[in-house]
Amino acid sequence: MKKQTVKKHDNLINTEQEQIRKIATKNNNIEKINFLKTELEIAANQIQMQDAELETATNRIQVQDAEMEKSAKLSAIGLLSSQIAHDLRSPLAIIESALWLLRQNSLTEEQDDKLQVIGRAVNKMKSEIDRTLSFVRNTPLEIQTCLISNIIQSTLSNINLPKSIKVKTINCDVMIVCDPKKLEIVFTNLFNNAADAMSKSGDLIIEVIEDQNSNIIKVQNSGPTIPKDVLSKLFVPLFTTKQNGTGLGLSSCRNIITQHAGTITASSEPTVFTIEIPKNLASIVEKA
Amino acid sequence: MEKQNILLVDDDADLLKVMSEVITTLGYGAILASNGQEAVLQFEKHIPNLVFMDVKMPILDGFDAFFRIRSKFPNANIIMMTGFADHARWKEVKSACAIYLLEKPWPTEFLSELIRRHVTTKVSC
Repeated sequence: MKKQTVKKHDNLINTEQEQIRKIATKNNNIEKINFLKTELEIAANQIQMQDAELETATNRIQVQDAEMEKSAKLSAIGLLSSQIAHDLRSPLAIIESALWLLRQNSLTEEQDDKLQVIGRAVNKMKSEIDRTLSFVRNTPLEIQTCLISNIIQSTLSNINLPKSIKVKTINCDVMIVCDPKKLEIVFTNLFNNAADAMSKSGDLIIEVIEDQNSNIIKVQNSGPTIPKDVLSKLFVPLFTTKQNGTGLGLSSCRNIITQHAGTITASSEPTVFTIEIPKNLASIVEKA
Repeated sequence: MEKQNILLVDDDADLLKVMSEVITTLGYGAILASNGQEAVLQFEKHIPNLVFMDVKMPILDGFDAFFRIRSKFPNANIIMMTGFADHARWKEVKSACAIYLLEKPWPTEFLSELIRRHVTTKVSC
């Protein structure tokens, strides 16, 4: 009888212990669940963050894709135009030599006049090719120290500005360290653009301002105001508002000025192109 | 005085034609070649005083022809001609004493001056 009671008691204890164990396990599970829930929340946050990062990255890739497409387009144009330039320069050499040979004979006024016309046409083609090539090829700078006014004069003598356009230079007798041939390409573009903008007549003002660390060249024309949406795209390659423009003029100007470690900007009302070239260009190029 | 001879090398027949006329008008003798390989043969045969060598040509290009001639004739006077300069390869031939890189097209007055200056000098490299 006593034995039986003890056994019953034991059973009771066992059941109780079993229940306590169960409760403990339950508590433990709840804790685990809570812990997992927190973990899950953190993970969800992380996923959200990664999603956002992914979106930014996708956007970046899209932008890079567009840029790559543009640069592929540009390099295709570069390749094509250098090929065309090479193929055109040989025939131009032939025409020029043939012209010279014809001029060795005595010519009638009529013949001489026509040969001069051909000669001028050849020169136009040459400068068009040079302009395209100056955009395509990035030859190293040949740095010299020279007077800005000399570069301007040399440019003006090579382009035929209409006589109705008045050129005014202010403080241009300033020495500058630059590649004069390349700067002449920039001036040629800016002066021709100004002449185009002013159509028949107007003022072309070139002013040099000496800063402590740089030379600032301002090229101003009295042409019509450049619309805002055009102003922001002026230096973008292939952008043009001219019917026969290539869209390479100003972008090659920017390439050349960037090569000089400088900047070129445009502003309207009045139209002014501002070039800034550092005075210590020689030491910058040496380091590069 | 014996006539000074100039070797003209270009794959464009018309360019060779007008250039040789210009050169004879200027009082020099003209020898012609239409690619690099012909240029090497013509040089060996005539030993000209000066060479105008186009860069881009079939069979053997101007740069390779330059080095072939230079290896046998270290004193050869060679001026390269080009429509579009490959500056990397030009540096190579310049360091082997090519005289000048003449970019097409050129004013004949400039060509004449270039010849006058280099037709009698001897390059030593």
